[in-house]
Amino acid sequence: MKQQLDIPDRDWMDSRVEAYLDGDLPADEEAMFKEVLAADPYWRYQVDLADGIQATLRTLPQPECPSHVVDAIYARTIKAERKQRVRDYVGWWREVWLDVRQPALAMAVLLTIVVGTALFGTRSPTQQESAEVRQALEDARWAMAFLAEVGRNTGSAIRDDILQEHVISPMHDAVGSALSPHNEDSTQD
Amino acid sequence: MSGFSFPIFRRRSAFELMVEQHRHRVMGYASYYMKDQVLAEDVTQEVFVRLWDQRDKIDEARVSAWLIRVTRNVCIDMLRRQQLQRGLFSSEYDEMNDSDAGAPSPEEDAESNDFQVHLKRCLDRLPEPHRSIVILREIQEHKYEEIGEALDLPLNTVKVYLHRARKMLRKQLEEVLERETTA
Repeated sequence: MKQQLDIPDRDWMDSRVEAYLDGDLPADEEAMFKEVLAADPYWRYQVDLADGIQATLRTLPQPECPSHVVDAIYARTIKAERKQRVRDYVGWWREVWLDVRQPALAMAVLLTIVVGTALFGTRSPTQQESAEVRQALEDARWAMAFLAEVGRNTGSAIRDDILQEHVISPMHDAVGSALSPHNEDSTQD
Repeated sequence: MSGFSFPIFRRRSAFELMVEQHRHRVMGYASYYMKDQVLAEDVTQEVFVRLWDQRDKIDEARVSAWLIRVTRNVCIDMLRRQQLQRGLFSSEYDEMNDSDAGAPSPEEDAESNDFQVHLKRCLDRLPEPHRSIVILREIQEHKYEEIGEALDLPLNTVKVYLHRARKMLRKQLEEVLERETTA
């Protein structure tokens, strides 16, 4: 396209002002641009304007970050860091608890049983049975065993005559003789 | 013993180094974007707090591009919030403020023939991403690659946008200067 133009048109020149300044134009285009530039003051003004814009942009003041902004940044990040640490610790403890929860519960139950047994499980010597009580219990066991035997043999309710003959009378005699031995002597006499 | 330090302190000192290295650039970009010093300070704070939050995820070699991208995003968020808040206030108050917003300050009035002041006004009128590219490339002298990565644009597109932006500035400035000479 450009080879067909003897005199470059306005758009062609306008689109190449910045590229000419940057030295980005191909050699043939640059030669043509310079030719027009030498002949036309309008394009010299455009190049000067573009050059001025670029130079001024590079010297525009760069706003500086004040130190109180830096202080605020550090304060906020330190606060965030503390919060993060607390979150990390809580998370760590939660994980540990999930891992050891069941063994810990088992240990606690076992410990409760052991301590409970140690505190309340043993009998004091004062609670031991006396010889009389042991004897009475023995008698009662024999009586119960007899009743069970009778029940098994008859397969029905215990009759009064059997109880009278085998339980009540012997027990009455036994108790009577145990309580008053001198009466036995007098009856024998 | 002198070479020993806990990782948390190493991380903090590295962060503080980054703040020192990049704070003026972040503040500069935010100032040009927001056109307000106080808001730019808020943006700068927010950007570096986000950097701290994301410190484990950011590649150190790409911090510069990351900072540009986040600064731009925070600026956009803040401007949106401002617009929303402005919408909630009474229209009468807004109209009063809007009429003042376009008027130059006494200082600006005094130096209205200054080329730099005209240029800054023209720069403020550029559309995005042209304005950002001019600020980042021409004022802050970032690399094209960094700008491309930050704005998520291919390298050639960045160059094309910059070229168009400079041409737009030239046209706007030409009009302003012409008006001034005829007035």
